[in-house]
Amino acid sequence: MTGIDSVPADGPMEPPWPVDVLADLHAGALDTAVARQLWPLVRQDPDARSTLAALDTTRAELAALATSPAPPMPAHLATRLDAALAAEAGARMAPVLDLARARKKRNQRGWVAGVLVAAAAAAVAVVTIPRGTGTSTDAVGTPVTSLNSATLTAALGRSDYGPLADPGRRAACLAANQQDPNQTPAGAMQVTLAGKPGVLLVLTTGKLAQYRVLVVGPDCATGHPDRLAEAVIGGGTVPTR
Amino acid sequence: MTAAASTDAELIAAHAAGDPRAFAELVRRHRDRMWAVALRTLRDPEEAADALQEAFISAFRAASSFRAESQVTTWLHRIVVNACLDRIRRRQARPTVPLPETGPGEPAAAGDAMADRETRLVVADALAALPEEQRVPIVLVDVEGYSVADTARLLGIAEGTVKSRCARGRAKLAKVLGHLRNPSADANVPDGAVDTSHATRSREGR
Repeated sequence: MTGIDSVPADGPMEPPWPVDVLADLHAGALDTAVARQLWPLVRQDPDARSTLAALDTTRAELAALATSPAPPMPAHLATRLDAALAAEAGARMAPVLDLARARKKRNQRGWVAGVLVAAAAAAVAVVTIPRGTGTSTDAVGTPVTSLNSATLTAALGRSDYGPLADPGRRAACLAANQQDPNQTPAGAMQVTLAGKPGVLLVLTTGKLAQYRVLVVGPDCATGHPDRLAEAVIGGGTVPTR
Repeated sequence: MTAAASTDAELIAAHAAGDPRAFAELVRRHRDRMWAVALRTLRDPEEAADALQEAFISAFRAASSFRAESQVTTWLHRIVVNACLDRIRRRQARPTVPLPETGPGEPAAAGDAMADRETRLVVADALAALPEEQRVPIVLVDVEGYSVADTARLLGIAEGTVKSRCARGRAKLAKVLGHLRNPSADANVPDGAVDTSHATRSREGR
């Protein structure tokens, strides 16, 4: 039904008018000639005026939505967006390594290990921490050979925590690895890395499109980081073409 | 490089010139505002996130075609709206999914007066409950400030249709939001146009 249909153009136009007719009049949706006849009548009717005022109020409240503070994009969705843009940037740019910084940081903590270089996209540095014992392979985890943007993307948005499913245990593990225990990882999946079972955690770094990927073993707990690998991926580590 | 004080237009130019940080900064500045636009238009957070991703990637690729005579925000806004409308067209046959009252990870904006916040939530909620054919024109015209003519072009419908859909939607919202106090006026809203006398927070399917 259109507004024009609801007003008999040649009939008596007396109150009360249906709200929809007044809303059409208010929106300029009525035929010009009908509107010209109707406006003076409506202005003399208190009920109609109050309806028009209600429509004005409604429009003002709608307009205020555009400028009023709105909830930010939820973190898990923002993370996904950042990852997609990082991938787009990676496709545009050639990869580069930021090895010196990563190596320095790790050495300060006393962990020295092999550095894996991901050839693809925006991948960066990986430091693996060899473990002296245990070679059992857990078929639950996705086999991972290196940490790169593909690994990151595979884990983003997942909540496959395996042995770290308990929030308290997860928090203790994060704290043991010098990470904020209260954060919710942007992604998690069970993996096997060099034959060892582990949980891969994607953590935000506070820098756009940059993530810390942390792989910990199933025994990660307070005082026992059980770290299998760690890498910082994306976020300004790509040069211009 | 990307100075925090750069204007949006400078960031676009830097991005087009190959600065890998410039676009990220632009996204950081505008993401939440564009998220609100996408969420209002599409309702569903997952869909809104997908549309926003498509929009930003389009903008990333199209930045070299940006012309300085338009505002960057206007340009981005238009790309986001287009991405949302594309998704609406694609999903038209699909049924709607009821939304949770509030999504996860949506903390209230800091510094927001409680009353204002509640009004905003109530208005946003009422808007989200409108059928799509009314919600989308109202979002474009009343919230985002597009002209009726622009909205008609964006949606591919006549200007008169935009006006009457806005009129229908506003009448419902005015009622749901409690601005219409005249019972006889309520009674004159035709069946099918609104059914909200005691269910102000109900969500309609389409």
